Amino acid sequence: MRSLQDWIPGWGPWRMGQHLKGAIVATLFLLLMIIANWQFDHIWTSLLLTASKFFGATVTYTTRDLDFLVSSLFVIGMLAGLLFYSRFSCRRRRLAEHLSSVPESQWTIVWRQFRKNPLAVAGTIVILILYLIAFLCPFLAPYDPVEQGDRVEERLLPPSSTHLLGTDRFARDVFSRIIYGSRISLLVGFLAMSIAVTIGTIVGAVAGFYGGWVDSLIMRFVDMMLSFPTLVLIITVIALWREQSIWIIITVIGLMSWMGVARLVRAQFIALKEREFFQAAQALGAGNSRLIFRHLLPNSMTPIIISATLRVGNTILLEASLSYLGLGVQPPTPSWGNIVFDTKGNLFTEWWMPLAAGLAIVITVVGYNLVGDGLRDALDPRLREIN
Amino acid sequence: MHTYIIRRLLIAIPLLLGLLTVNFFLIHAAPGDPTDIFYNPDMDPEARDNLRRIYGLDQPLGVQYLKYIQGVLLDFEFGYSIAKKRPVRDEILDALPNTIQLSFLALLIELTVGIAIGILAAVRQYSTFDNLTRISALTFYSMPSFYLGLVLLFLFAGGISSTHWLPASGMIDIVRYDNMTTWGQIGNRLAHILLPSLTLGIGAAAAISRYMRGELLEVIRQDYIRTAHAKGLSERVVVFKHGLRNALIPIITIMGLSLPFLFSGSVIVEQVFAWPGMGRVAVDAAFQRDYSMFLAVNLIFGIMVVMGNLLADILYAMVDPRVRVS
Amino acid sequence: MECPQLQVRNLRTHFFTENGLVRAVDDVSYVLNKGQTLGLVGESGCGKSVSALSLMRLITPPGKIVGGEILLDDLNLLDIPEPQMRQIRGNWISMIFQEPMTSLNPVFTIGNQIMETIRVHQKVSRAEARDLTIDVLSKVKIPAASNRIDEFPHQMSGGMRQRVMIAMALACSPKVLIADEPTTALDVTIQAQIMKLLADLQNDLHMSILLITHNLGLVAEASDHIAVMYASKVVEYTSTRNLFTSPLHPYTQGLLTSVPTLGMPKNRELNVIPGQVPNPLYFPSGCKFHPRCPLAENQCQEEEPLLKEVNPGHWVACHMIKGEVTPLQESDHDH
Repeated sequence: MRSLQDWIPGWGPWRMGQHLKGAIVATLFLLLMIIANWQFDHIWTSLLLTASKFFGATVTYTTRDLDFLVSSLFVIGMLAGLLFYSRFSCRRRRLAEHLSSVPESQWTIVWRQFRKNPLAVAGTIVILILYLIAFLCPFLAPYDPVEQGDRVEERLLPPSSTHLLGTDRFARDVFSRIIYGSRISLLVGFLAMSIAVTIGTIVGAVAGFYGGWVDSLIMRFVDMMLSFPTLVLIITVIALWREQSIWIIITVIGLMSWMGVARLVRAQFIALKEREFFQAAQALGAGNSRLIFRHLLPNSMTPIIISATLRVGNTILLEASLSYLGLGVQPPTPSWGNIVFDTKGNLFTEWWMPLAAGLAIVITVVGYNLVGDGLRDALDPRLREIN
Repeated sequence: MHTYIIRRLLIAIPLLLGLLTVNFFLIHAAPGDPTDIFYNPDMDPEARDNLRRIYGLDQPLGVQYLKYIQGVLLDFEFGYSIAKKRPVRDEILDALPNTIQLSFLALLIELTVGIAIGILAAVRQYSTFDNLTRISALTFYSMPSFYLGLVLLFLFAGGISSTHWLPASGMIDIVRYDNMTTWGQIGNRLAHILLPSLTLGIGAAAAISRYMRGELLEVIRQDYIRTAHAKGLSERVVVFKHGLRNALIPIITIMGLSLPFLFSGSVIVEQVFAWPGMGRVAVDAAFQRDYSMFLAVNLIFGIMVVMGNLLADILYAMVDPRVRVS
Repeated sequence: MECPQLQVRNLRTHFFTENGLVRAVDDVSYVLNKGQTLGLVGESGCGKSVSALSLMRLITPPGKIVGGEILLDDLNLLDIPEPQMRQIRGNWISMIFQEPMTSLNPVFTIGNQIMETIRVHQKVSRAEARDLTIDVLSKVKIPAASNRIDEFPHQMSGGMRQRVMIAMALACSPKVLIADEPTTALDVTIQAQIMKLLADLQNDLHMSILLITHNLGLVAEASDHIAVMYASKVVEYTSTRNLFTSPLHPYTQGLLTSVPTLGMPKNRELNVIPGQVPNPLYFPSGCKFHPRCPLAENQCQEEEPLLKEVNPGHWVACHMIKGEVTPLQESDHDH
């Protein structure tokens, strides 16, 4: 009986006192079930389509079909994943209760601190829901985001039950465009941040580890890069590049925003080099790569993670600003920034279009910053006191 | 103090040269020959060679580099804008004062609002006011400046007819400006600059307020604050004389470091409010592929940041006796 | 003629921290006589600094003075409102701190900082305050006081800064001077100079000094009475002479024998008190010294000993030493 109960998603953790975990798992499961039920036809068709291709039928996909397929697999995968996660976390917990003491990992402690902060938890939930939306776009968006409706009859409609946020001047459904826009923001935010953090870590590590003239040279270069206002520099580089694909924008944003991370990692390395454990390792004859990868880098992860999280928000803002200027993601692909760009002329009449798209950006960035602040507070107790 | 300032100057000079170098190489990194950029690609090859000679493009890269630096530093020479059909220098000299005007007012708002809120939040740590400003600061610096601009436009410049108080774009009312009294003209200018500078200033003020609060709380825990209490000074004198003076010193540096963000923001804000400044010039030039123009804007913004930071360093030296008297 | 200037009775200062209640000062009593010096001795963390800050009412949250009396002459400092307390701080009671390097505000000249104290407590003009400041700076033997008055703290050495701190504390001729580890951060030669300066000033100005230190040598020379603190409590209180000739509390005895003295045989081992100072979050039951005490018996684990007068003028808090439990103040000889 008990083991059967464990299969109810979220019930197990809830019953064992992990209310938050239980609630999140149960809510996610329910949300996905509702979506699956409501879009049952779509999920079924797209899976069937793929299956028949597998058995030799000729199927031609459109991009939209592919979208549906990915989302269907995501829904099914997530549902199964949540079931098993809920079940196994129950079992692990029960096991832990039997053992007298389970050593706490650092992350358990961090998570406990993080959970105490309601704003950080709210931020996490916002981000989770955004990722869910990004994956489930085709199921959640009532219309195709790029398909234009009747230019005479359906142009610039006010919000209604058929078009939640009305239609734009090309008679496209704004609500659907905003839902699809989440993909761009999250993609750009994540990838550009990864590029920036990778470059920043490497540059900072080299400068901090070798010191001397290498360090001075690199740091002067960093100072110089920081002197250009980022947005102006990005505009310059993108304009020089002559074409604006989303990948180029991601690369350029990444290439232009690694300097902060580099400074951070360098400072951390220099501080760690003074510590006893490092000097001991050095005295024992550890090679450079061992010193860097086994001793310095792992001990620098905390500030890197914090700054990476906080950087995602900045990156999303940069992409939105570029798209707002018309120099970012190009229409008809919807991004929140270019939706505002497209509809800013309607501010005094159909104000809901630009304001809703902009609000989506604010919510996302606030979410990331809340998570970043929460992580910083949880990982670095000294900062917690001051803030 | 003199050695300190000289050292700062010595750091600024290679920084400026670095900016020039990066910009020079960006010109040459642009796809194709620079003449492709400046002139019609269909022109006959002989004319092109002529042009190359006139603009010195046939000379070795090193010579070109030195000439470029000499041109920028001595003659403020950035080339010719194909889109505007006039020297880049003239275009920039028109736009630069407008951007400086806007940024300066925004900086003023950033400092007064940011510092005031930061102090109040620190003095009443964990109060409702503190929590409220913490959340609004987070919201404001998570907000793209174009969004704040659009919201302000919507609220005060026509979205709601009963609060249509301020003009939505430009620097002056072109139609009526010439017929106004001097005071009327000043009022008209202020009305136009209010929304753009608020948009630019509030976002920056949000960040400054958090720094200010943190610095003041940090200072209040120092030993000399305990000494001040032990002398029998009132709480007000302790916080505002002994605490504030110390907490404001690092804010000068932070202010200098915030300049690039301020200028980035001004590009957006100028676009939202049709403010005829450097940012608008840069974006127009980017659309028109007017290379010499946007590269010049990039360089000038860079130089302004370096100069601003130098100014902040000097100010720092004047305010902190540990640097001033040594 | 011994006559009490400052009496501390049953003072309790607690810190309400996230991890629990810390009784930093718990039921502490001592007496500081007019014109004399009382040494408050103990290891770091025993509550001596907190008790000094309590006298000035400078305890900040999460700390709070929860009980007791602090009598300056006949005025209970814990009863008066904050504005009145402000007039007493720096005027009747002054304090000098351990860290001369960080206790002066780096952005104001030392003259500015001393004049500020004078002008808060006395109605004098700016010029008069400046003259008074130069006077007091010469009093603490700062050479060329009229020039150095306009210097910033970072331009002075540690010893000079401590002299400035003393000048600041003496600016209004206080009745009581609290010196919290005044020489710990200084070089040994400077230490001696500062202690000599304090002794001279005490003679000139007839003030009472509460000298807080962990250095037994220092109190032996400088103080008339000594209160020994251990784990937030006073465990022994008597005249300096008594304490060094016939220490009674096992902790005091341990302390005294753990210090090397000049002329002791080279091969004699120094005594070591076993164990460690307890964490103030988890004090032991009964007598807080019992886990480390060579004399401890069952009673010591259960019952907390009170201060009792075992010989005239000699109070000890220990079950193993017999005597009458008497409040410290009432049986003071001159009453």
